[in-house]
Amino acid sequence: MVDTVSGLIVTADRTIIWYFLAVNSFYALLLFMAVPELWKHWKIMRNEDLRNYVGSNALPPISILIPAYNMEASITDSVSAQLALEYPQHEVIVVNDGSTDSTMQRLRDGFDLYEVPPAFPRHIETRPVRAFYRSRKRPGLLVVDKERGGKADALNVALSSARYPIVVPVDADTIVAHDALLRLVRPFLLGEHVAAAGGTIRVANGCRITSGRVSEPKLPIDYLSAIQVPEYLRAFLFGRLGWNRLGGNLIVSGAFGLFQRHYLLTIGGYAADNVVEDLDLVVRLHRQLRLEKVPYDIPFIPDPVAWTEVPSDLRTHGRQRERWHRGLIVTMFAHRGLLLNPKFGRIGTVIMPFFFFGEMLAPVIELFGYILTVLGLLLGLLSLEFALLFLLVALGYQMFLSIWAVILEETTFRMYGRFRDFMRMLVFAALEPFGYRQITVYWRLRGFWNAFRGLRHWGEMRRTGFSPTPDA
Amino acid sequence: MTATLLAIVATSQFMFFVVMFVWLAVARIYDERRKRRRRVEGARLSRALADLLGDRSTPEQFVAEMDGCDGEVIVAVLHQYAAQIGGDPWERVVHAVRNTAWFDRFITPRARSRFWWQRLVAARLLAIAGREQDLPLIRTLVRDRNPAIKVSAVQLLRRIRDEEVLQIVLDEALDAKPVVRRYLFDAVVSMRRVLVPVLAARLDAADNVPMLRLLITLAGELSAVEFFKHLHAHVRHDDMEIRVAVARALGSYPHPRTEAVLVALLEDGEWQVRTQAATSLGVIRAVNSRDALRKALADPNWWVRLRAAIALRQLGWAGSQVLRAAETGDDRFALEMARYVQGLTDEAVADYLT
Repeated sequence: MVDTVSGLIVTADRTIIWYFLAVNSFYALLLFMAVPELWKHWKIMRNEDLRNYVGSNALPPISILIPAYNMEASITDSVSAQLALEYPQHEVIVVNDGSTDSTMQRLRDGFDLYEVPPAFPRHIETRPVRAFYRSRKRPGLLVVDKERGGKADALNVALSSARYPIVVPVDADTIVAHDALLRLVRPFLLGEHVAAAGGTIRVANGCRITSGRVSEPKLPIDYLSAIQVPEYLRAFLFGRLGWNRLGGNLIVSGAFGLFQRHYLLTIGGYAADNVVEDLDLVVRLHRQLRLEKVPYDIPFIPDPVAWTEVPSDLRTHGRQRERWHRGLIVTMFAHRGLLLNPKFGRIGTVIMPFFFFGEMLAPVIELFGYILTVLGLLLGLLSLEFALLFLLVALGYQMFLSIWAVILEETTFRMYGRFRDFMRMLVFAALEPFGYRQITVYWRLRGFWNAFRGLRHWGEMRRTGFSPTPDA
Repeated sequence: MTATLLAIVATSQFMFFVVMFVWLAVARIYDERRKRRRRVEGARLSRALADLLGDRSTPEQFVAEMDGCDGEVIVAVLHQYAAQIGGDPWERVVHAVRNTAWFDRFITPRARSRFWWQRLVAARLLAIAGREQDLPLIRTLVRDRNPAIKVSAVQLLRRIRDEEVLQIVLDEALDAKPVVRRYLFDAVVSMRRVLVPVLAARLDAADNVPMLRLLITLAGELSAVEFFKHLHAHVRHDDMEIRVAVARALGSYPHPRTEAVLVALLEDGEWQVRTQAATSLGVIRAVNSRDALRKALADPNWWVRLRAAIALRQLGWAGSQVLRAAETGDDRFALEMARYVQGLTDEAVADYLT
């Protein structure tokens, strides 16, 4: 009996090591694939004439969709910043999702709104719309006032109200770089069959913000925000970029991404019952386009940047990570028909299995790995070297990948100009697997628990907000 | 065994990171220095170019300043000025730059490179500084597989007229994606005098539907009266999309006979054609078509009715009279649509038109 148990522990631990070796090697493959992609965009980026693009009517007009709930403090600045983006033709649609504060009044006062008739066919069922408004000051602005229905519901209203064929959903608290839209439409210029495209999300905490724009990127001072910087770099700079060459992206960030409007309408818009509506949307988009045999691309473009505030306190961070993982679990189960289904090409055979086994199950397996390793050490079943091997494969490999992400950033965009910031990023990339990672494992495991309980709410997200820094 | 393996991995990783870190630090210092040097070179060249344009120096002096400058700096400065200056002053600059040995040395290998990014640099420079002798290279670059190169190269047509490049662009436009096609069209539209006869001849000869639709769209954008008879020839084309394209193109310019043709298209069997005809009648403010538009208010298709009602709103007082009459008429379709459109604010009507 004892032999059987000890044999099981050793075998399970070995299996877990192989699991991490496989998952982290897949990430290394993504990194490998990301390099030529990064090279391609880097080369074009250096040679493209954004000024010519602004002066031309060749680019497709864009509707920016902003769902807003209780954003009275920042809504006018945020909308003004989106209206001021450099792009030949774009409109901004703000949906006030039944705010209980003075968001709507701020919009009315700030933009001199007047009511217009609902001249938009209702494509998707949503909570009732109270009124549509246009601005006397800014012709490119449409404001929709509706009853509370959640972010997805608000986005669906915006989607129905959009005039243009391309929509870019943006979070109200996201700072989009002034030229990000021009860069985001690059796949159209490269003649790709674009169904959607994602841009890079970067951490705004700690940056100098002037007139609603990030004027000087800096690494945050506090540990929790700063450690998320290499994490975001890893996720975007090679995680998503690598997928460009492996069959397309499964996630286009809800904070900043681009979609062909008619595709979204075809799939019925955002699912109001999913807490990570962006992931669910892209999976449904893949499914539909694959079923219809429509040629399409969902590329990730590294240089269009949107800055977002990441949680700087543990509680909010935990809620965010729990919700992300809960959403991933719900989405994986909702679309389990795609898993290992060759009918859906690489989505079914590569991307979905990776997200299922490599992302969704990772915290469970990691927890087992920790427990079995400690148990094995205590019972004398495993040698110290074996335990170190486990740490090396599970955590060291990840550290190696995070450092690579920082190096990629340093050798290409170098957004953080100060050498000190680069050094700190390297340090945080090295520290991430120790402590921070285990905390996220805990939150992600809670995601499992809450998913099985059928929890649907977001949880309160506490933000400290951007305080504009005057120019020195 | 495991301990040895771990030691090897740990040592090699440590060594790797030390080397990597040193390399990154050195690369950063080198990069900063290079950037600083380029900034200085760019500022010097920019001043020299400004002096040349302001007749304060000679082309020879400018070329002398170019010597020793980094190629990318030269291209960046030229691009910066090309975006602001056109016509003869710019052609003087081009003349000076084009006749340098540097230009040939820089362009030829890049234009023929197997690396797309090299060809892109060549295309960008040729677009702003190319001359007639560079047309063979431009023709090759316009046919390039990479759309970004195609789009850059075709910008040369804004400065130099060449029928052969134009013909290539029209052929390439057929398979290009919409945005790329739009860029190609934007560039060829600037050489209108060469384009009109070429397009007219192609409109008569085109036998494949996608190409014909493309040519009709382009003809519509040129708003050239010379195209009327060539467009009219396709009014009864078997393909519905061609008829829609003709109706749209006819809405882009007034011609004495345009109105009658569009009124005829209001009777087309396909609602898409009728919708476009109604829209175009509104765009050209065809006051005499109000009776036909009144009839279209009772069309079985909602979109045709909507577009007819909006077109009537665009006709001003005469159109509003028709809508008011429809509001009190017997036809339920016409009545509802007239009420709906009459209830729209001018801004809401403008929304439909954009």
